[in-house]
Amino acid sequence: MNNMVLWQPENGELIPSSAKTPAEISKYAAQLSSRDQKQIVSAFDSGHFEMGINYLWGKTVTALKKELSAVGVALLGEMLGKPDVDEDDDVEDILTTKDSIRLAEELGIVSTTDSMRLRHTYELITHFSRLDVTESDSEEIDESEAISSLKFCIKGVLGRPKVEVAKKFVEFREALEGESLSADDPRVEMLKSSPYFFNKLTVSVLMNAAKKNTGANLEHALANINILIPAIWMKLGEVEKWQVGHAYAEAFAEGKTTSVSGLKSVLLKVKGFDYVPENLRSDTFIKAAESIFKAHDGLNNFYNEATPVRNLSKLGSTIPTPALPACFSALLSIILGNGFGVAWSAASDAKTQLKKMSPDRWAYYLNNVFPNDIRILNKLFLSKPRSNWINLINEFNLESLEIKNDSVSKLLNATVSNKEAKIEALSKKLVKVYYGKNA
Amino acid sequence: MPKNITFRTQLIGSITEFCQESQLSLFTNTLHLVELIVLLARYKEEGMSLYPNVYLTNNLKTLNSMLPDGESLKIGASLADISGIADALKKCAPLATNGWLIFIEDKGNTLEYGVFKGSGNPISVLVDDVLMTENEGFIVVKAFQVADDCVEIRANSGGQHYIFLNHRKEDSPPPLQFLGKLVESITVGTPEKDKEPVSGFLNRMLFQSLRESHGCIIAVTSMAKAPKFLSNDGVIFENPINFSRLVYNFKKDNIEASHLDSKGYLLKGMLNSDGIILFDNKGCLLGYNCFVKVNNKDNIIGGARKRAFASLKTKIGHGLSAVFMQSQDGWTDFKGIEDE
Repeated sequence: MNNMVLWQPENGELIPSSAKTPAEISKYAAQLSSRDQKQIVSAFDSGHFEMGINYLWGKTVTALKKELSAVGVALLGEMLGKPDVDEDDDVEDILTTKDSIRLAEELGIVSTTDSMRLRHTYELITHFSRLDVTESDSEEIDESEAISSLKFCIKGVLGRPKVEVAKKFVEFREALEGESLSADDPRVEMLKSSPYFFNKLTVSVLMNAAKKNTGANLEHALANINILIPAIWMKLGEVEKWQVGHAYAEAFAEGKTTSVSGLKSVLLKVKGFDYVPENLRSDTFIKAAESIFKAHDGLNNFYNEATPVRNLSKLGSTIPTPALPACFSALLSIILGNGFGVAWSAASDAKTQLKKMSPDRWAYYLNNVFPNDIRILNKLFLSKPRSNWINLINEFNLESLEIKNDSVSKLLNATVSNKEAKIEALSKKLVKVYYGKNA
Repeated sequence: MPKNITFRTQLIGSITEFCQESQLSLFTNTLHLVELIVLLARYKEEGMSLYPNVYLTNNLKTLNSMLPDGESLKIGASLADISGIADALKKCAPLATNGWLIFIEDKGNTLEYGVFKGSGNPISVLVDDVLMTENEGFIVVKAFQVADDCVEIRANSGGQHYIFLNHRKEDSPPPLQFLGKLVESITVGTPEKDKEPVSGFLNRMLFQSLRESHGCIIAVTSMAKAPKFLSNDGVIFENPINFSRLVYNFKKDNIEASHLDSKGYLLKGMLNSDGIILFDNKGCLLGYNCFVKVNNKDNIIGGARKRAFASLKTKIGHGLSAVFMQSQDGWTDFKGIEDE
C-alpha cells in the first residue's frame, strides 16, 4: 500500500524569475500591507539592508507562528514535548524561531527546501546581530544576501495569501477526535505503512486529546487510541511509547477516570505498562531539558546556555528513564553546538553530565532514541557540529556498544573512522526514513 | 450426638461460580475464599475492629504499574492455603489504614503479601476505578467488609457478591450502594472538565468517612442558597467550602494537596456531628448541624434520623434535589429528583 500523504507543502513559483528588484519582489508578499512593503523597499533602496531584513524577518516569523497556531497550540506543545502547554498559551511564548521553522517543515507548511532557506536567513540575521561594535562597523549584510533573504521570506511564508496550509492535516486531526475509526478503516492500514513522522504526530494528537477532551470527542479519541496505537506500537520509538505511558500517569494524577480507563485498555493490549512512569518526577528533568533547547535555539545562545545546563545538573545525576531522550538530546545539542560554534562554558558542564551516563544508557539512547532524534541528526549535516560529534564519540569510546540499528551502527563506524561525508549521508538517510522524504 | 449447623456449606455453594470465573488459582479451592470472607466479617486485632481492603492478584507488577505515584511494601510469603491467608491478614491488617491496602499475590503454590497504596494525590483516579474494571489477562479479586456483618467480594472480570453474615433478607440492598448517586447529585452542576476529579475526591473522602461514621444525613439543594427549612436551625457557612474551586486550584498548582485534604477532614468532622449536612449541586458544602421539623403523623418506625430522612424526602423538588441517609450499622438510603 502506498504511503499515506496527509498533507503536502505547496510548491509553486510564487515569485517569477523576472522579479529582481526589492520593489518587484515585495509586490508578491500577499501577507504584507502596502505600507510594510514600502518600508522594506525604502530600507533596501537606501542601502539599510540589515534594518530592512530584520523588519522583514519579524513579519515573517510572526506570520509563520500564526499559521502554525491554526493546528492548535496544545498540539504544537505536544510536538515539542511540552506537556504543560494548553490552548490558552500564546504561540509566541512557546515557540522559538527555530522550533517554528522545524514544525512548519514537519507539518508541511513549508517545503524542505524553503525550510533550509529560512534557517539560512535566520542564521544570517543571528550572525550579524552578534557582532560586536567594531566588527559591526566593518561587516555588513550585502545587497545580494539581502535580496536572497527577501525572496526566501516571501516565497516561504509571506507570499501565500491566506492560511490554507496544513488544512489536510487539520482534517486528519479532526477525524481522530471527531469519529471512531474501525479496525478495517483504510486509514488505519495507511498509517501503519506511513513514515515515522506521521506515527509520531498521530500519537501526539491522540494523547493530547485524551488529556484535554471531554464528552463525545474524548470517546472518539479513546476509541481511536485503542485501534491505532496497537496498530503502530511495534514501530513506535521509546519517546512515543513513554508519551503514551506519561499520558496515562498524567490523566491518573488529574483524576480523569474516563481517559485512564481508555489508556489502561490500550496499555494492556500492547503490554506497555513498563512505559508508565512511577511518578511525574521526570517532568522536572524534561522541563530542564526544554529550557536548554530554548536557550540553544534562541538569540545569544552562547551566553544563555550555561545557566539551564547547570540547572539540569543540579537536579541530580540519576535521570529518570522517561526523561532520558530529552536530556540526551539537550546535552548533545550543547556539546555539538551549531554552525557558528559552541558555548564552551555550557559544553564542559554538559560533557560532565554525559560522562555520568552508563554504557547501558548510551546504548539505550543510540538504539532507541537517536534514529528519530531529528534535532541531533540535522546537526550532523553541518561541519562544526559534525566535527564535535566525532570528537565526542571517540572520547567516550562508544564504538564498543552493541547497536542494533544498521544505519546507526554504520554511522558510528564512520564516526570512528572520521569519514565526514559518510556521517552526513547516513544522517540524511535516517532523516529520510523519519519523514519519508528527502532531507 | 448433636449436629453442628453452619452457613459454611451454603456459602461454599454460593461462591463456587464466582471462584471459577475469577480464574485465580488460589480460589480453585473455594474454601480459601470462604475463610477470607469469614475472617474479614469481624476482623479484630488487640480487641480493635479493623476493616482492611484485600486485593488478590496474579500479577503484582502490573497492579503497581497501574497506580503511578503509588507505593508497595512486601511483608512476607506463605503457602497458598487457609493458614497462609490468615497469616497474611494478621501481618498486614493492622497496617492497612489511611489509604494503605493489602495485596496478596497468587504465585501458584505460594502467596506473597504486603501492603500498597494508590497515589497520595487527593484528586487522582480511585484505585478501584483502575483495578476493578475489566483488564485483559490481569486478575484482581477484592474482598472487604463494607458494613457490619457484610463482606463484599468483587472480581475485575465482573462477578460481585455481598455476603450477609446476619439475618438480612436475600433481596436486601447492598450497603453504601447509594454513595455513587449522592456524589453524582453533588457534582451534577460542576464544570464538565472538573467533574471527574471532583467526583473522585468526594467519593474517596465520603467513602472513608462514612465507613467510620455513626450514621448521617446529607441533603443536596439545587438552589443558590440554603433552603429556609434547613438554614433556620443549622450552621450555614458565610463562605461555603467550594470543592469544585478547590480541585480547580489544586490542578493549577495554586494550592497544596494539604489544603484540599484539610477541607476533607472538616467534612469528616461534620459527618460525626449531629444533624444534616447540606451541599449544593455544584460541589459546595453549604452547612452542617442542620435540623428539620419532623411530621409525627407520618407513622415512620425508627429513630430520629429515619424520621428526618422521611421529612426531607418530601422536600425533593421543593428546595432539595437529593437526600441520602446512612444508618448506624452502615446501610444507606437515597432519594433523588430523578426518583420522583
